[in-house]
Amino acid sequence: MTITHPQALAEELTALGPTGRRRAAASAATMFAADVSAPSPALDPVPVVLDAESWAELSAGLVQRARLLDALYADLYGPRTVLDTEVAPAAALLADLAYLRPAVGIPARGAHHLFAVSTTVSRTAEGAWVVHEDAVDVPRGAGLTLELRRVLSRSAPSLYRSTEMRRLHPFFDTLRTSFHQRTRADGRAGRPVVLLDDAEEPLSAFDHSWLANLLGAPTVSVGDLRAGAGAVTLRLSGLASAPGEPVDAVLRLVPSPLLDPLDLGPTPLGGVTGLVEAARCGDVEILNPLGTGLLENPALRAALPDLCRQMLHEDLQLRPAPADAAPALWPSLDPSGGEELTGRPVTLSLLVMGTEDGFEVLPGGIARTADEGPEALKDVWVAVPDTSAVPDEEPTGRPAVEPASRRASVSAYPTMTRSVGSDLFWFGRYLERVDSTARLLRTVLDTSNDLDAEHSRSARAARTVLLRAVTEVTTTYPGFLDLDLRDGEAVRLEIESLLGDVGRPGSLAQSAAALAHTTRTLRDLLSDDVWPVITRMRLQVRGGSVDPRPLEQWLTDIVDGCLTLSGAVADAMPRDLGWDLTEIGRKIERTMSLLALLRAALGHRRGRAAEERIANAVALITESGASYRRSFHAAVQPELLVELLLSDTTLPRSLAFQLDRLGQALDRLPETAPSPELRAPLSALRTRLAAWEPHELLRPLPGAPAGEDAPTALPAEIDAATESLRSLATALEDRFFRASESTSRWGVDDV
Amino acid sequence: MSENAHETRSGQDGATPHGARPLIPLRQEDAPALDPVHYRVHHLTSYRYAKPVTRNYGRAHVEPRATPHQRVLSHEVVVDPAPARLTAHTDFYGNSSTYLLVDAPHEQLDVHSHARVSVAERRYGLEPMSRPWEQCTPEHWGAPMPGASLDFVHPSPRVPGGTAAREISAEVFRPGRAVGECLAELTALIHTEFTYDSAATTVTSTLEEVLGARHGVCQDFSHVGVAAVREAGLAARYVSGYLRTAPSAGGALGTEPAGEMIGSAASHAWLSVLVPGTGWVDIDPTNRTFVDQRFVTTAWGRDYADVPPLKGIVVGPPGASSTLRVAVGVVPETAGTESAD
Repeated sequence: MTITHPQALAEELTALGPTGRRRAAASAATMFAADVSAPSPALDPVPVVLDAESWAELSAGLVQRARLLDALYADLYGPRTVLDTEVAPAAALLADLAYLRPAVGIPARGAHHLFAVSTTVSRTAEGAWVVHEDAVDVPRGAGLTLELRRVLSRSAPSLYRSTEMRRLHPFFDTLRTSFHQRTRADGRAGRPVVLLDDAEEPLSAFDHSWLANLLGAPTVSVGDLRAGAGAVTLRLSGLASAPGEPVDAVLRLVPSPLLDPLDLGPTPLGGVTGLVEAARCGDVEILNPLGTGLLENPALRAALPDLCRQMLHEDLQLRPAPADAAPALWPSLDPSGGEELTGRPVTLSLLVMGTEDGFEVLPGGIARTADEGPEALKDVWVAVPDTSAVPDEEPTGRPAVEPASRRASVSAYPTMTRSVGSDLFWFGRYLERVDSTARLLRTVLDTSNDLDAEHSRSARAARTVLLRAVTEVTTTYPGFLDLDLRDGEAVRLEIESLLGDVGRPGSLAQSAAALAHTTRTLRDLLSDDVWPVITRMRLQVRGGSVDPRPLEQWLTDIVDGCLTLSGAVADAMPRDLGWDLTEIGRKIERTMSLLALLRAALGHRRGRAAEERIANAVALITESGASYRRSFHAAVQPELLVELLLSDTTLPRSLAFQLDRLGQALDRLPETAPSPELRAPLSALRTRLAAWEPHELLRPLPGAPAGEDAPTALPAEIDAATESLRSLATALEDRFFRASESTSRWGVDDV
Repeated sequence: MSENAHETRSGQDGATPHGARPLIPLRQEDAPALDPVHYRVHHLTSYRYAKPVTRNYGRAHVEPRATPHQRVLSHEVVVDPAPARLTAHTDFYGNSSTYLLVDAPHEQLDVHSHARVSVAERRYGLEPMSRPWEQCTPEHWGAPMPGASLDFVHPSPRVPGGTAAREISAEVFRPGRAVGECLAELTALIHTEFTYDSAATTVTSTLEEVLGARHGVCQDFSHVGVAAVREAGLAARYVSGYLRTAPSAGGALGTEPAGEMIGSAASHAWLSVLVPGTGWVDIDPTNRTFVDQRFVTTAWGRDYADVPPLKGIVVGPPGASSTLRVAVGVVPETAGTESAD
């Protein structure tokens, strides 16, 4: 049986035609990939449309199922009477590693235990809804459902105008209100509810962060929480000794077994020590509660029809999916490329969430094709029967949000956690690292090609210095230091590795990947314009060696990306602690790379002709050529260039400029007490740089062999300056991000 | 040992290829029951840290539990320095589970458990112990028995199925053999074939490692026993507790090992097997004996991971070292020790 579409939709699909439909699919996938910063799954703009009647039947079944799972959780993690009955698969449940014994007896605060359940269903050819599985330990799909709706409705707007469907946002508005109302009981008003997430995989991280956003709950990592006596607190950036902010509830998207190394066994992530006991004592509510993975047990799923009669005294509405059921077919794009729509079986992932009034089902979801063909994702529409039944924009019958709660939820948004602080700092550092690596490579490759063609001695010397400077600045030893630079193939391979080898620390690809990695936790903090750039950069670096364009143009695209990111940071980021941490990261990184460049390029004296070529390249890399020409009206000489880069406070790539901004940002940091570890390295650095006199620094050392390649005092001075900068960075990390303490297990094993 | 010798010697006398089998404490109509023994139990665990540590979280299963053979007269856990939180709850298996949190810098942590318990004699019915072991599997349990649970029949995190314990099981649980004999044989076999060596294993040693090396401590021997019993399809649980110690010359904290018993003056472990008709039967392979009035029970579970006596997580400066001292005293209450406390 193939389900037919509503008339208006069918007409619009026809009007779009095969090309229009494919184009919509492709553009939706592009948008999706850009938003998620990950490759998009195949998308199919032809929706799964559920009429009001089948939705009523399906959603009633899902609510019943959530009530049943909730009752089962309450029993299995409470009195466990169901295990003694004939109908429960006791042996399978007891043998399930997801049955976390230490979580037994933890009280629930509200009327029910479960906060969210995602259930995968399908429809049989006979029209019955059947269930494939439930995700209860880590429910998922809220963010992806919205994203799918967003990109498909933009790619195929005519389809979305054709038919009236239930909107998704009102559901989350209701949920958010309900969610935050929980926190106003028991004198816990104003305590934040946080979303705990450690998803590495981009699609999950995206899904989770969007849920956090919808619920108005900040995302935190396990390392940000600390269980004390009487409260679980958020550890905030920069306030290592402060008690931290108590949280009311933890909406966890981290699997239960990883949450508490004390009671739930060793966890690779560290977990939150004492969290289980904190929940047992009622300091904090954990949603979904601990150990809900047990509810995903296949034997339990098979026993639900009997359990439903026993526990709810009702017949289970949604039956388990029989292995041999013929599935209903839904109109879809033809996966083999045909022009006509074809029927494909799909599964629907639907989300049920708990509110104060009971469970509600998100009127939409994710449809996945489930046949031999490549999987495609489709939007799920819940049709509105007639206009009179359209839900009001302003939900009626629900109290409007009182000002008090609005205030509470604003203040409830905590200051920055340690992991977010650290990610912002490293976002700044990697942004500069990508930028400086791309600029360095662009100029050096361009210049060295010219020099290579010249065959003069000075050109060869300059080329050698510049290529080796690449190795030194990116610390990708041995790199060019060990290569015969006349071997064109070897040089080409090294350059290719520097661009595209994501496993090589210091390569452009690795820095870009690290940059993208730091942004996982920053979705709420960075401008939306950032994500497409991150995605483009990632794709470009990945496709590096097959890109047919000249390298210079390729590198210019990377530099463009960095400029866009810089712009997004400068124009959209609130000037708060987060901005300061990013700024500090950028300034430290830029100073380090500039010092490394000067050391490698100008640390030794060479012949005048070679020096001029090298200095020209440095001026290009540091964007100081124009300033130089305005200031000195002379050919670029090392001494004058160093003078300019050292002390011109107006030049955004000069050392003076970096140190000024670094000092200002450090001054703005919240500090409970003056911190010598932070101040001392900066003032040491300033004192050292103030004493630098370029003509002295660049004079060949006494006793050095005359002529080419004469060492100067510059390298040693720069090493000392870099050391100060490193101590500053370390002090900052210790103070603001890194857990300055270690945890270790103890136990008495001699029994 | 030859297969033949084994066959002929596995009869009613106490001798087996694994030496003398321990005596099964059977219920005898004519023998008067022994009086319960009252013990004073101390269990002190003491850490000293080289540098002050910031916080300390602990989970303990040190409170003796009430059993058909044991009454708990009093119990108390004292933590020094003063804990920010000290709570106890009854866990999944009915044990008392204690949580402690010290939330201020400290250089030493003392967890001191005191209890007074009364331990009665254990005697098992002749008829149930003489039944073939095959009649002890869950389908023969009949009406629900206290604590009878499928939980103890299945593999558990520290006692996985399919290990070399299957061979031990096959050797012990021979078709038709009386369950009492099987348990005596199992106790003797583990005691003979495994060497007690406190340096051989740690809490993280796996069952496979222990079975391979044939070395271990009482915890490992208990796991081997539990695995062998479960391979036969019977219910076995891991039991944590103490052994009676000799009163020391120095004072009330009797921490001298009593006689030749291994595992006294420390926390101890053994296993318990469900025999329908007479209940849970406890055997101690480490000491080649059925559990008697010298044993004080604190907790049980599927395996060690459910009931470690004391474990924790300390938060402190990186690389801080610590020294550990453990003292256990299980001393019968007599006039002498009573007054010395």
